[in-house]
Amino acid sequence: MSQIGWEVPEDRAEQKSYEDETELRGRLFFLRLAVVSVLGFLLTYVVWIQQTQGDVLTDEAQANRFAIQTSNAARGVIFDSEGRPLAENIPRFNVTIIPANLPDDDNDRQAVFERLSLLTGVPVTNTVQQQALVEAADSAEVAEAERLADLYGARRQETLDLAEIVEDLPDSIEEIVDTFSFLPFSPAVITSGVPITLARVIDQETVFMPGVDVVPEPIRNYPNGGYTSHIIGFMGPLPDQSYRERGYAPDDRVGLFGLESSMESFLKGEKGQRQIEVDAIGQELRQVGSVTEPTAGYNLHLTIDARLQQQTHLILEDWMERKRNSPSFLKYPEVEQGVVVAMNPKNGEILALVNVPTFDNNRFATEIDVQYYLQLARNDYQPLLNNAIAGQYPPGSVFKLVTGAGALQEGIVTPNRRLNTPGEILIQNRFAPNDPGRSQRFVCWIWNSFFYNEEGELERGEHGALNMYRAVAESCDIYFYKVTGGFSQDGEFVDALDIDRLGPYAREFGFGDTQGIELPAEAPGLIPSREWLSTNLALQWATGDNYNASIGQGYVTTTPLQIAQMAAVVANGGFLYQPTIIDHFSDAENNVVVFDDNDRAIVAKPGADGIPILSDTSGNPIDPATVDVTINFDEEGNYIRPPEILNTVSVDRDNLQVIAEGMRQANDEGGTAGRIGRTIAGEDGPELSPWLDSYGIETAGKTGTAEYCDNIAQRRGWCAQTADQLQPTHAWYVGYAPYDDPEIVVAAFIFNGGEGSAWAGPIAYQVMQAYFDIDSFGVGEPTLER
Amino acid sequence: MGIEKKREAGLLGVAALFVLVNGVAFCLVDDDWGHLRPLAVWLLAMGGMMGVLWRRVDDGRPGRDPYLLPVYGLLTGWGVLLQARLAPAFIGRHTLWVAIGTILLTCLLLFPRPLAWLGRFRYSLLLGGLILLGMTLIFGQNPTGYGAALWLPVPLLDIWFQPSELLKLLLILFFASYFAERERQISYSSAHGLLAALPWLAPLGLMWGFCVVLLVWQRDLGAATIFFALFVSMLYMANGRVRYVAAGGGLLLTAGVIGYFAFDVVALRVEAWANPWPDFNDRAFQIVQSLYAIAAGGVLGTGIGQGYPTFIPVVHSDFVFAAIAEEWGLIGALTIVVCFGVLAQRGFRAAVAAVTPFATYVISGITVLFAIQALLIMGGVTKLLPLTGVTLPFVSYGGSALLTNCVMLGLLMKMTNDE
Repeated sequence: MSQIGWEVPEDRAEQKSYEDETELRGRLFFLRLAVVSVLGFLLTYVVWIQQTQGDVLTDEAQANRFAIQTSNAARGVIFDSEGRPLAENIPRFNVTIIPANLPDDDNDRQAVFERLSLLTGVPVTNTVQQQALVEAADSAEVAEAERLADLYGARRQETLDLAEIVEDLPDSIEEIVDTFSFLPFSPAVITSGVPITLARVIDQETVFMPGVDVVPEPIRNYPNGGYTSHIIGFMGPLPDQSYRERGYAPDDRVGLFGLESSMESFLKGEKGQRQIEVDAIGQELRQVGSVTEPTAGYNLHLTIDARLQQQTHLILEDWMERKRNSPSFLKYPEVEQGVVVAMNPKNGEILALVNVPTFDNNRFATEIDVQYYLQLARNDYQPLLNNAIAGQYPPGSVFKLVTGAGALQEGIVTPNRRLNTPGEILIQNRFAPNDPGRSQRFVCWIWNSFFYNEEGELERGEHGALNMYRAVAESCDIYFYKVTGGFSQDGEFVDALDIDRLGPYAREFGFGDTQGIELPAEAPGLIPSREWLSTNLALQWATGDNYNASIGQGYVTTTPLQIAQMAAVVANGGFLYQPTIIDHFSDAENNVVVFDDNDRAIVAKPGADGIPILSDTSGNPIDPATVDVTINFDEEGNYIRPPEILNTVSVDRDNLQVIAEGMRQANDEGGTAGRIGRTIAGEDGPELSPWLDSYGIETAGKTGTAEYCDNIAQRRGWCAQTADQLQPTHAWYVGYAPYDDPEIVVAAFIFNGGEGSAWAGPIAYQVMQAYFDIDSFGVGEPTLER
Repeated sequence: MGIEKKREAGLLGVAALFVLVNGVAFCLVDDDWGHLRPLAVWLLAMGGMMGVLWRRVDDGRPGRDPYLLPVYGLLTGWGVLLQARLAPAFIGRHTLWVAIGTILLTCLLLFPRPLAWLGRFRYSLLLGGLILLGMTLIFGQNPTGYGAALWLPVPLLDIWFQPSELLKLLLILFFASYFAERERQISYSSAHGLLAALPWLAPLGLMWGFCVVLLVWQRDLGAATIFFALFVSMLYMANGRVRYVAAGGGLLLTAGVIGYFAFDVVALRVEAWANPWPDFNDRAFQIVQSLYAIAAGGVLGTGIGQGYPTFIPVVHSDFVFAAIAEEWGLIGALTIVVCFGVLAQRGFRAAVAAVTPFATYVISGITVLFAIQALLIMGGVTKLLPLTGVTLPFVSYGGSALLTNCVMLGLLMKMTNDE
């Protein structure tokens, strides 16, 4: 009677017949079979997992026993032209904990934490102290901040810290380990950058502190910091996932700015790999399998001279400071941005590339300092931009070199033809030629200068009759208006060079396009044309536009690098060289490495009789006949970089010589830059020749004072509202020395710097002094060596 | 004492011995004898239940199935032990739920009258179930603050209630009552073409829609699968047509495919199931750690307290099976599978023996439910099936599930003898 299910009790058999009728018994049997077979399948599957897959999965599970250790390649070092390091690698020690390797026992674990805390100074826990701080604070404020934090899903502690109510104590060991407990095999960094002595102590004690590890990490050091930060740049965490596909590990760092970014593929090298076996607490036992050694990245040898770079920087800052202290500063009271480019006109090598304001790239060496970064990013004067190649400014009068060269070449004027240059000229209105009220007035800069004449009356200045030499030397606007826009009044006839002919010459000198320097974010500048104006602004090109373009105003914008390039073309007699900042690459053994057109690396050593010995990166010799690049060494075994010519201008040497002579006269008594020596010496100082003539060096140059009305000026209300008012101006100067055998071109620029002759000229003067190692360049000897 | 009683007592003794020996072992490993406290409570509850049941005067009705209570004892005892091992923070609550569940089970077994009247309130039951569901959809929360909102806070007490557990029982009772009353009609109409079967296809579609709502609104993949599989198997019992089972399987698959493309939760689960390795550190972390744990166990297991099952997130609820496979090895895993096999076998046997059609449907429904739940979660943990958030009956942490399961086991055992 007490059985269930086995058999239907006899006395109830009749009642239960419905099951047979409805075939329910059979269906139940079927269900039963289904459940049993599925459970049976599950059973077999579990057996299969454990017995067959067991080994595979055990291997997977014990991935901590075999670990692939990648070793980072040494990043290439960046040297200046004299072999001083500008970017180098220094070690930094991080103390980490791998949570899975910590002891399981709570007391042992606590002991490890306490010992580590004693050594590193990182608290084991600070929950109590944090609680005490919260209790000590104003409870109403705390409650409000916490309510807001909850509302926006923010971390309460962080919110309290940001609101400056309760300080967020640094993370404790327990907190850090807790955060990483979800990834038990990933090392959690407890503290980074510990001194090497402490790193060694902790490393020895790791035997007694399972899970704790000291990991050396190379970081980048920039000995010249802010002096070269725009050139060298900095590194940071991977900016996006695309780097992962190119073989970077998630915690790798890449160059984000400057050469660190543009030369990333050369600098980074190849990672090494080896498989190791580790014991239960993660100590390495032995190495298994083969080892791939890391390959160091290529070193960069720059054309920059760090000493000149630093001196140039100090000179630029000094003159910006002097400008700030001048009386005229009050009208446009900001001088915050300046650029100097110094280059060799005979091969395009950049000697110094200085930007003010600058930033300290060492502050980005380990992690991006957000506060500092934001402060830089929000600055109107863009400390993070390399304005020497990325800033686009109206060039003003320095542009007249191109206009003059073009006018001579096109035969608009002969070098000695004198044009009448009053202080102002009028362009008649095309539709009302006899209505002087509707004529357009164009004035020379000198028209706004006032002199007392012999009778003691105040009089406006004007240049009188000038030939090309004097027009360049005295920077006469009217002269260049006439040759560009054409002129036919008062019996004088001048043909028009016009933008149609000026534009192509400007392009030949390197304007309106990037120069291909090895730094990122180079800007092209702008040389306008009729088509450009009608396409972009839907305007007709007018004579006035020709006038403006002729003196580098209106729509014309250029970068400081382009200005230096232009002067280099005049100085070297017509060659536009590819500007470069990299002299050559070298490998870890300091052998010169050259890349051919297929990006094949060729290691070159100076041979005995001037023939270089070539090999590939593994040391196999290469037949020089198969190499399509020229590789030369001088007698001392120094690599000679072959200069690359971008373009030869279609202006005859004779005509360029006229411009050069004009520039020489500009740097002499009576020229616009003729008083620089006086400016530097001060009114009471010693008698100085106009330029470096007293040191036996003849120079040539051109000043520029470029009116501008950009966003910065508009926001500050500096732009002229009426025709009588003056616009704010940038100060420009470009010059070269020595006059007959040029070695250096210097372009100096100060944003909102007023007169080029007063504020940019002296910078170039002193940079040349520094280059030729002439004493008293006024700012003292910079400190280069650490 | 009859032979059944002896067998029951003997098996229960084995279960108690297993739990206690492991408990002592755990105390030694963990160096904390406090772990014996919850086991003592469990022992007391089981002892109390058996004492009351054995004392009962034999009233001439057939006795209990001698295998079900030992299985219940082993599973709950093991569960308490596992919670002490894996989630010490929850052990108090879990023990309390086990005790209350055991008392409920005892009360049901002692209930003097047949429970056939349950079937008469089928629409009230359905309505109650739907109201519960509606309340969860509207007021549902998740105690942890994130994840699927499947819980209702119980006023005054600091506890949370998961209505979908109770809903399972209510739906079984509703279906059982419905099918028991109409089974002939069902058999007839489903044998006479599509048009006559339309009244039958309609509920099928309705039930499917209901499950899709569950899936869409609550992202509760597990509950939706269980409800639908339950419905299909009960429908099969009523009309015996395999094609309905096939159609049901097709619909389930369709819902799964729609879910895959429509909801990230479903897509993630399916992807983590198809190939967990690429994402082993992130989304597939749970399943990969679970596989590691199972593999690490070997045949005999590492022994209680000596493996690392706590590397698996929320191991104490969804992943207890992995913890068992690690610390008790293949032997332990097989024991659990066999326990559920026995539960299913004895359940179906009871269904066949049941006197009224209503009881047959209720019992087989409950049995199917236990089997499906065990299968889904064990399959999920071993990566045989995509992971669905279902608990392992009687073992996993979870008060609502435990209480409902106790009630269902009670109904199963009680209704076998109902006239």
